[in-house]
Amino acid sequence: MPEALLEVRDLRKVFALRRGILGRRAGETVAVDGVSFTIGVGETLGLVGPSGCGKTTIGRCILRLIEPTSGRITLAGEDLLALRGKALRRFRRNLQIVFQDPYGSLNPRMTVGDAIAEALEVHGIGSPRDRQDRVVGLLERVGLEADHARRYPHEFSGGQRQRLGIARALAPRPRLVVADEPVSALDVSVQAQVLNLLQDIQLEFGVSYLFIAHDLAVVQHLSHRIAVMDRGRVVEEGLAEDLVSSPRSAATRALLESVPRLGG
Amino acid sequence: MTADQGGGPLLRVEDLVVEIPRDGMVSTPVDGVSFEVGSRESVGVVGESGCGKSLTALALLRLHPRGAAHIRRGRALFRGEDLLAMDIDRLRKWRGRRISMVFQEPMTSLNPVFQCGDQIAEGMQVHLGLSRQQARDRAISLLEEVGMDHPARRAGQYPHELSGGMRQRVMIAMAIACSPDLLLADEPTTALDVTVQARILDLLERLQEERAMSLLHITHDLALVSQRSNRILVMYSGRIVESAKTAQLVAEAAHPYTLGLFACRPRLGDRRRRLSLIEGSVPDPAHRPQGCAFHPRCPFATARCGQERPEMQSLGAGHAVACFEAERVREAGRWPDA
Repeated sequence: MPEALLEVRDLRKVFALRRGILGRRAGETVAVDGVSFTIGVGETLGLVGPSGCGKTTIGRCILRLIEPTSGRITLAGEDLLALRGKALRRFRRNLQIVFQDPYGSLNPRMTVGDAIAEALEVHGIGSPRDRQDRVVGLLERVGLEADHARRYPHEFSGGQRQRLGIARALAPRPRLVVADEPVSALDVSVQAQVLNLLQDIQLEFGVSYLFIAHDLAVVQHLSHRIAVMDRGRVVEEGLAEDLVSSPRSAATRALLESVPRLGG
Repeated sequence: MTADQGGGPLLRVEDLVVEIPRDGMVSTPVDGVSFEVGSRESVGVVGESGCGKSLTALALLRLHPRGAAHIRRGRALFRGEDLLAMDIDRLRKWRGRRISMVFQEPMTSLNPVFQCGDQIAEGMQVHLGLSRQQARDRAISLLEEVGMDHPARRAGQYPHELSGGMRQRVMIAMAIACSPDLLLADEPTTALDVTVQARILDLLERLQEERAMSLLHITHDLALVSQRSNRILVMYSGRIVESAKTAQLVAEAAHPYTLGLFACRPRLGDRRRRLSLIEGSVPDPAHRPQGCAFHPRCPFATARCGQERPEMQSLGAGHAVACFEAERVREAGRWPDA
């Protein structure tokens, strides 16, 4: 077992349901109900489950994009939930996210070069000159070209945009990347290209992934370990090969049965 | 419902060409497509984005974007009548009634300001002349047929109140409301998670059998249709490059592109290996490479492939392929590893 990078303990997130224009509290929904897991350095943990099981909420809690109701999250020994203001912003370079829809997460009025450079700038990395070199290096690393830096997001295909999303996430040299359904909007042929890229980058940079997806075939391909979620809880966790070959929970079996297989 | 006509195909498409004029040039995203769909047959159309699959289906109903694209030539004989040449008012009466369509994103194809039940009922009032109440009652039983719980309550709900899977069920209910002979389903499950996807595909399969419909299922995922279609058409850069019965295609694919599509999907139990790749991407139809459009991405390509365009040739038993190296490809049986 590699050295632990991320530890999540008893994470809970309750959303209030509000009604009417005064936002009267009309009940609550428990999106994440006491979830614990660990991710090692250079390791990929797959988080899999049907829509609405709480997997995306967990990813966002780890990034502090939403505040968990209770629980404990530590990254490299640092208590993430205790960080505030400047300290939180500084710490965030260690944590990046790749979204399902890269188009929705790239500013349409900014060249992609500027978008990637901005990720370096906000973390005070490098001089302006140095940043331009790094942008070119990142673009080339994800299989794009140096002169793509001057173009705008709409000029790229879905697969290229996801490469841009990965380049931007890698820019501040994070320790952990949360990849939330990074390939589910892509053609199978492009999915394969992006999955290979994610795998190569992990080997090269030693980054850890929390890989969130609903397709178990994709998740098990990339993950060392897998946690299966159902209605806010982790119902099964284990090494990817064990979980696929001998599933113990009904939720895992249902996911396995849904995987499209070659028939005929 | 109309009776079968002497065993001929329900739909026969011949040499369909759709053009898009652009910057003084003409591109042909659909470049001579011919195929048949038999009565009660389920046919899968597979290829990457940009291969012309959706445009082919839209053009059959003349729903392609009018200002941008036009049908250059070809015929689409539906029960012997050419959909592309018939009076547009007549075709309008057929859309939804004899041929209907399900799209990828139900949220953009459902009207947000009407209740689901009314949207399903509308077609039956127009095409079948049912009263509002009759159509509404029928809509509720259709919602039940497509597997919605509390169908009467769902009929009174608006699209935004439903999940993605439920919206797709509403779309399907709408599409089958007037008992069409042919259902065109364009990536009907791509926006859904795998468990919901499996249920929607089961539903389409059951409806196709129970209602004796034909189904043309368009998708980028070969594995999806390989479990459920009788026959598969593989499309690349505006043309059909391989066509076979499903079992035949899985067992002895003869086009490299087909092998590539099989190879790039992660398989259960096959972990952390680099996936085989079809490098590059589908060419812009305005700048198709000379010869076989696939040759720059093809590990089997020879000098001839860069000069001549292969035409579809029969390999017997309903299997046809457009590849000079078909024999070698079939013998290899797999896409070479990276």
